[in-house]
Formats: sequence, structure tokens, C-alpha cells
Amino acid sequence: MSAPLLELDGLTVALGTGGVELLSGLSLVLERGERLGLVGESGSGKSLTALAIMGLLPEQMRVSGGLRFKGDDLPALPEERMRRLRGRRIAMIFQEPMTALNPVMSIGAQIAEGRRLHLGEGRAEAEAVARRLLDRVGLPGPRFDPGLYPHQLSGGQRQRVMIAMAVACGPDLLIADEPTTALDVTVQAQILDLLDEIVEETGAALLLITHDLGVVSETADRIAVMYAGRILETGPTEKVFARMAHPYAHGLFAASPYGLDLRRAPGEPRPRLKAIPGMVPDPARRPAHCVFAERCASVQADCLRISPPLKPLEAEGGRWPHLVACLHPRAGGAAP
Amino acid sequence: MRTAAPLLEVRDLVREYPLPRPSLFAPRPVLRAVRGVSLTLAAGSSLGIVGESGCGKSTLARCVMGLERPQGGQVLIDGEDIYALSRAGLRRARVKFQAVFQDPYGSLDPRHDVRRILLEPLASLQPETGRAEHASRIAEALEAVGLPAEAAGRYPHEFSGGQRQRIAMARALITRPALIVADEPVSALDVSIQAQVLNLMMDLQERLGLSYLFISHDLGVVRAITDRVAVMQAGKIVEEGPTGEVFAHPRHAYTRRLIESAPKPFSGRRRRARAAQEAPA
Amino acid sequence: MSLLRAVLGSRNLTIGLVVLLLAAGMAVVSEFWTPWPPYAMRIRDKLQGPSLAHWFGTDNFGRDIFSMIMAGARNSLEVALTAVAVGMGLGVPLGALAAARGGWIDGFVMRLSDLAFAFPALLTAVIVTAIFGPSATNAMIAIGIFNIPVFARVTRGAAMGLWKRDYVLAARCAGLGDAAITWRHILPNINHVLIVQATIQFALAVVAEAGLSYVGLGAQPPQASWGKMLSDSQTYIYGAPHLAIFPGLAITITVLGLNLLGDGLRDLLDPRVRRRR
Repeated sequence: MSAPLLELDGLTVALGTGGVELLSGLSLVLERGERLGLVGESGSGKSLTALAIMGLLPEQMRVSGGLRFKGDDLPALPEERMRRLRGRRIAMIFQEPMTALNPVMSIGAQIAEGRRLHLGEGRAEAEAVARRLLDRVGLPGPRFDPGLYPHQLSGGQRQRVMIAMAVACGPDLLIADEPTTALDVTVQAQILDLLDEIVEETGAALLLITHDLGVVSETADRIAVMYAGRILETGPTEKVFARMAHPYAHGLFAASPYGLDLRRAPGEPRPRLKAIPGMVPDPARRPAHCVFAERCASVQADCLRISPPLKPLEAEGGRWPHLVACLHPRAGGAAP
Repeated sequence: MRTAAPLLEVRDLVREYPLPRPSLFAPRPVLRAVRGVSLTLAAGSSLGIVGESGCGKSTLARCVMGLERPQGGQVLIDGEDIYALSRAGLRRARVKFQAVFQDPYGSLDPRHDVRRILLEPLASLQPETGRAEHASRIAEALEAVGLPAEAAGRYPHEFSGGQRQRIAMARALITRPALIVADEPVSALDVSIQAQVLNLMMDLQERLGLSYLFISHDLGVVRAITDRVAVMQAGKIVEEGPTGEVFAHPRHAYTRRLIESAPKPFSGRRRRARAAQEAPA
Repeated sequence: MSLLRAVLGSRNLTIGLVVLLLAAGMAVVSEFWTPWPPYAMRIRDKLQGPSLAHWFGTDNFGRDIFSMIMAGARNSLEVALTAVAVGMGLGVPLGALAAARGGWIDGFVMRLSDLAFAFPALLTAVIVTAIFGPSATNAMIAIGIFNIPVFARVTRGAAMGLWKRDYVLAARCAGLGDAAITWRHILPNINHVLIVQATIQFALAVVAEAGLSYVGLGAQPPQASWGKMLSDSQTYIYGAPHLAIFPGLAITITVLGLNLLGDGLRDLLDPRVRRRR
């Protein structure tokens, strides 16, 4: 059996040696053609996970545990080889298309840059590919000339350019960090569709990082819910949404306005959202027991003693089992 | 008949911005941000304005806040046209309406402690309040938003995003206004914190009889907190009605598109065909 | 206490502060005491090298160089301080006004400062001294005028961004006018930028004063000035290099110290750095 495309095996990221753990024992497997959604609130470590995979963590952070790409141990790779992976095999799409594009370089040149660098193509050749890529991401000529500059495009169009840049070298893994958060809903829908099609066509794997349950639900095959540097629940999207076994996963849903039942009789007070009390614990003060225990409505005595590992919910999990890190998983359903 | 007047009435509001000339002798083009908007808000209720970026909703909000003089139309608060008032008159009127902004990091001066932040509108708009009353009003406002009294001595950077929005809310409440204009007040917050702040806003509305003009791009949030909603597109209101009604039976094509585009959990993998016919945005 | 620890924790700041205090101390002490009267000529002792009696030696008129450097410190610092004060006193309000009002006022203030920038500092000084005659006071004014657009620009640039902040909108909702907002919200949030700029301008003013005195447009004899000492030493540069070395060192060390002070202050006052405490 060949090695998986991306494998996180107890990936831990700490600030300095033996310092504060920012990510604690993440385990994930991602194969080509799959879409995995990484959901979490700020401080959950979802963006840090992306940086760890890209090998772009700040100096003072230490990586331990397994982080393998096609069997290669990424943290052990020399920077020279890592550079050849970045952009060529692993590509990233950022949240802010405004700042992620170089304002003084034409969009065609920016798309062609990767091919010239990684594939050694000449200018003419690479720019011909850039033209085709622009067509592909929905920016057809002659209206969208490769000679245009980022400021001449709207936010959604810039995000399309970012996608064209990311797929220019035919990467195996696409990491999209909140790719639609800065965009309007109608544009967001189009960009998600485009990402979806690109994955379908190229067979690349997609790691979609987002805080929006709706976005993952509509885009990902599998999801992993992160909280305080850990994965608390993961599995096929429908299974996770159907059960929401972890109280945090359910809490996240119930707190969003989607979870609100708006029916009310006239004169009755407006129904409240089910807020999760408290705040995400500071990384330096994460408890040794379950990280969610302090905010959990169904906390029990043993939750304050044990940090539960991810365990399968059903005996027969199939290829992608539904795992949850909770001692008392919920029976199921979106209802409380 | 003054009692019958709505708390807030906006009549045919027009706000334009001059743009730079394309060439030396060309006439100055104008950006028509708000092009004839009318709306009313009854006391004790909440009206949502939804729309995408650039639709003019924030400009509308700033006009209602008394921060940008419109080129046409009126903003009436308690039947009084705030742009027809003298400077002193507008100052007196401001007691009745206050604002909450989006960015919990940018809306509080980092150099001022919470006491000074809360005191600013009170001392400026109600100078007749004395020292003793200041202390009690600050305590009252902090209590209303669920912050401890000790918070008064601390600085914004010592608080989380959600707590900062509570401070911003306390600042808006301290003059005991009737209307709060909230421009994307929870957009920068995480879902679980967003729920806390929205619940707080609903509690305060019921307890104090507040009215909200609630501006947001997030349909879910607007659905949760407003009685009526107005959908804005390109500087105009294209649909307005009771929130439940508009969401259940959107009449305007744009409203339908907005509602359809918003991603929802449980919808499964998205239907692809829809986007194919749309022009790239 | 924590402030003291922060100051001592930064090497730049400590060195800069020590140098500045030393220079200021020399200037103050020179009012009451110098090893020798700085302006007393003793031709008999002229052009002596450094010795126990004359630490830095004597000049071509037999004046004690160390005493002159002490007296010159007062002149240099006084001119530089006044010049920075003039620049800040006029430049900061102008810049703040431009940022607050924008539009044609902003355009007017900025074009005015462009105009001032377009004249080389020395030319400004020559014009001022040509009109009012050369003196230390006029040197102060000349250097001060050159500082006005510098502070106006820095103030405007730093303030512009703040005017877009939501807390400024909130202050307007609280009924505050532009002046009150500038005073309460804008200036306190840009003071670190201004203080750092002030140390840089202070250093430049020390050099400018030396330059003006060197060409004879600053301090007039017999008043001691580092720049004047430097220019007087020219003739003797081969025979008695200490005449040039000591005032030169005084200028260099003071300017270096001020620059280090500026660097240190920038780190200390940066709210982002401070917040990490």
C-alpha cells in the first residue's frame, strides 16, 4: 500500500522546546480527490495547521509528531526541497485576495510565475498557460486580459486569480484558508463552486479551512472540528452533521443563527441563541483534562480527570470512521 | 400628533460622493451610495438592513448616526430632522441615538481605560450629570452588559473581542438612548461569542425598550434579531417587510438570490448548476 | 518601577539616555563652573596638546578646549531644543489640522510644506540670517522653520489612519468636534511617533547648528559652539589635530546617542510591543 498523500500523525506544535502547546496530537489522513473541511473558531489552531503543512511556521515554534506528504517527513525536509514542494505540489489560497496578490505585477505574470519557477517554462509558454487558467477560473478574454493588475478587479475576481495561481502547477494538495470569508455571499457561492469543480477536474486534494459550518457542509466530504488545538470530532460530513456527537460541535451549530427556531407566537419574547458560555482557553492555560469541559453543558466528573482521545463511535467505521474525543458523546441530532 | 411619529423615519435619503475627475476638463463623476431610501422604525422594534458590500448600507447607517450630511432627504428622530438642527441642537438630540460599530479592536481607543471610554458620551452629551451620577451611570451600564464593575479601571487590550463589543454596547447605552444604530456589530466575532452578544442585545431591547437599526451582511444574524428587514442593493431598498415573511417568501429576485447563496449546514454538497449561468463577479 | 526596568532593559535606550544626560549635564554645569574660563585667551598656552592641566588641550588663542566644549554643549543643545520646539509647536498643529479637515485645507498645508522642503535647509538658514543677521537665535529660527514641514508631514501621516478608526466615529457620535477628537484620541495615539521623530530632528538640529556655525551663520564669537570650534580648527588640522578631534567627537557622540535614544524610545513606546508585557 502506498503512503497517503497527506498524513498527520499526532502532529504537535509547541512554542519553543517543551513550551506551550498550540496544536496537540492532530491526526488526519487526506487522499487525492478528497475535500476535507477543517472547522473551528479563532484560536482553534486551524490556520496554524495549514502553516505547519506548508512549513511556514515562525522560527520559535517546534513541530513534533508525524507530518508526512507522500511518505516524506515534512519537518525533516531541507528548506531547499520544501521550497520545491510549495507552490508546485502543495498550494495555498488565502483569505484576503487584496493582500495576497502583488499589486504591482500583472495577474498574468503572477499566475505564470509559478510555472516559470517550478517547471522552468519560458515567458511566452507560461503566459499562454496563464491565459487558459484565467479562462478556466471564469475570467475569460478579452475582458480579462492577463495584463490587468489586481486593483482593476473585484474581490471575487481577485480570489479567482488566486485560485488560478494555486492550481497553475497542478498541485496535489490545495489548502484554502477561509477562501470566501472576505467575500459577499453571492460571490462566495460562486467561488466555492469553482473550488469544487477544480478538485473534481484535477483530482487534487482540498483542505478547506473555515469557521462557517454552512461552507463546510456544502463543500467538504469529510470534516474535522477543531477546538483549542485539538480535533474533537471528525468523520464524513453527513455523519458528523447528523449526529454532532461532541457537545462542542453541537454547541457551535446551536450558537449559529442556523440553529434558531424562529417560530413564535405574537407577543412572545424573541427566542435566544444557544450561546456557549465562557471563552476559548488561553493556550498557556489549557486544562490537562477535556479542553471543552469548562464550557460544556453536559460535563461530568470524569471529564475533569481525563483528556479523552479520538475514538470511533461505531464498531464498523468503514474507510473513514466517525471519531469523537468525548467521554459522553451525544446520542445525536441537531436538536439539543 | 407627535406621539404617533415613529422613532426613526428616513425620507428619500440621497448621499453621493464626488469621485476624482477622469481627465482635467471632464465633469466630476459621482458615486451615488444611497439613492432615495425611505424607511421607518417604530419605537421598541428592530429593523435590519441587509445587503452586500458597496450596497450603501453603511453609508445609510452613518447618515442616520448624524455623521454624514446627506445631499437630499431627511433623517427624523422623534419627528426631528437631525440635519436641520443647529450644532447645539444636534448635540442634545444625540442623547437619544447612539452607535455600535463592527470592529471590536478599532472601536475603543487603546489609550483610554473603560471608565474614560464610557464617560465620553455622557460628559459630552449630558454635561449636567455630576461626578456622583457618572459613577452610578458607569456601574449601571457595565452591569447591563454583564461586565464586572472592576472592568472600569482596565484597558481595551485586556479584553477579548466579545467583551470589547460589550464595552462598546455599554458606551452606547450610557446616555439611555432610545435608538441604537449597530453597523455589523457581531461580524468580527466567533459564532459562540456572536451568540452571546446577540442574546445580550435582545435582552437589553426587551428590558430597556430599545430600538435597533441593525446593519449586517449576514442574513442569519439579521433573521435572529430583527422584526422587519430591508434588503438594499445598489443604494436602494429593493424589498422591505416583516423578517419572517421576507425570509419565507422573498419577492424580489435579488432577495431570493441572497437567501439561496448563503451556505447552510445540512444542505449537502452544493448544487452546481446554479452558479454556471451567473456572470463572474 | 516597570518603566525603569524597561528603560534599563534596552541597551540603545540606556546608552542614548546616558549620552544625552551627560551632554545636558555638561551644559548646565558650564553655567557655574568650567575648569578654565572658556573665553579667556592665554596666548602663552596656545595649541597645547591634551595634558593634566588642559584635558583636551588648548586652541590657537590658548583657550581650554574642554571648557569650550562644555560651554558649546549649552549652545548646541539650546539651539537644537528650540529648533525642535519651534518645529513641533507649529508643525504638529498644522499636520493635525490637515488630517482632521482633509480637502483643500489638507492640500494647502501639504503644498506649503512641499514648498518648504524644496528649499535646502542651509538656503533657508542663509535667507533667515541674510534678513535678520547671523546669530545663535536666528540659527534656531532657521533650523526650526525647516522642522515645521517635517513634523506637519509626520503628524498628518500618522493621524490620517486614525481618523478612519471606529473609535473616532464613536467620539463623533458622542458629539465631540474635530479639535476635541484630535486632543483626546489622535494626539495620544501618535505621541510615540512624534517623540521618536523629535529625537531624530534633535540630532539633525545639532548637526545643522554645527553646520551653520561652521559657515559663520550661527553662534558669533566669542560664544562657544561645537561647529564654530570645528571651523576654527581648520587651519591647524595638521599641526594640532586635537582642535578638530574633540569638538568633532562631541558632535558625533551626541548625535549617535540621540539616534540610539530614538530607536530605544520607538521600541519602548510602540503600543504593540508594550502590550506584550
